[in-house]
Amino acid sequence: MTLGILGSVWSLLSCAPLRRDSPPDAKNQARRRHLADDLEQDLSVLSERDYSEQGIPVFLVGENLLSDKEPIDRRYRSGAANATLVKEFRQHADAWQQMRPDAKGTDVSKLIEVLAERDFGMTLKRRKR
Amino acid sequence: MSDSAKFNEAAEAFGRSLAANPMIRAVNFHNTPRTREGELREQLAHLSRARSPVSEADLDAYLATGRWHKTKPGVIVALYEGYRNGYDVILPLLEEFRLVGWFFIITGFVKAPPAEQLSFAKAHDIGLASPEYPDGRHALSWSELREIDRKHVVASHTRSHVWLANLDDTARESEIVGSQRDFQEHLGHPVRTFVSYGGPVYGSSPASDTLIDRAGYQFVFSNLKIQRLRAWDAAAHRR
Repeated sequence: MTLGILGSVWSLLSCAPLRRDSPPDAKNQARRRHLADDLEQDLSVLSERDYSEQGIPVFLVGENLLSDKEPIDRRYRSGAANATLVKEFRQHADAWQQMRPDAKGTDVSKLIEVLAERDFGMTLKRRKR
Repeated sequence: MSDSAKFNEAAEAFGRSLAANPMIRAVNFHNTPRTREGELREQLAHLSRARSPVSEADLDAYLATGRWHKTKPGVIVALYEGYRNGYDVILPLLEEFRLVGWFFIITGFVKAPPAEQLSFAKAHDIGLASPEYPDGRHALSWSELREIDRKHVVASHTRSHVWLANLDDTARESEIVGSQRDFQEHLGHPVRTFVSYGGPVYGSSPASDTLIDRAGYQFVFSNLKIQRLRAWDAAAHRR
């Protein structure tokens, strides 16, 4: 019995470092998988759209090439603008690359279309009704 | 560079750009046939509930200051190529829902005689899978464009919808500066906005950039960006 208890203590102790590291990694992996699954599902729905006859929502970044001459809001100078969207975009870009290791540069547009469609489009909402 | 490295680089660049600049929502349309009218109505009604219209003056102020001045965020409704149903089908809907349409026009399509418009479309990557006008005119006319120009945005999408990088200097000049001349001739003023075929950014081709500057465009649209190149004196340009 003593051995059994010691054995359990040993196994707890021996797992301790792993337990400190594993949960966040496992959590990250699970989150990425979840994001990737959702992306795959939405991409599949959106691939049915006819680009020549349907409205495609997108996000565009507005660059002012005269910004040294005109006063731009402070948020943009600190690089903290659109914080929520930037975070969401980066997380999804990470998931996209896991999901498609052969992702191309042009896939960024596809990813933006999915995020824009979720933000203000109708196709995915209509599908989930 | 491997494909995945290119994806990383493009994603990183977009993330950085988004973190440092104003963002605007847009919906890209091309052909808007009558058969899709119900769907278009639903989509524009949905947009108008939560978004504000964006004029060129609104965009100018937003990109210059970084501040959006309307209660609801803006949405650009972009209509590419210059299809006739842009006037017959979507224009009345835009007006009903008080949205501003941005009509990106291929001036060569508008200038082509009706009998040649189908073949022009086919030769210049303008999708017309199910032509709906028996009289053969599938592009907007200049008189329709003048009417659109009163409340909406008319912009240049070149003359022929071809890759500018593949052209010699004369042909490139015709696409960028020549299309601006078409608008000056038929609308009576220059247009402020330009987008190339394929959507490359300003700054990616010195030869095109010089011509964009010479034509005097204020905004360049591309796949992921809108770039504001210069201030605009609306009074001087009668806009």
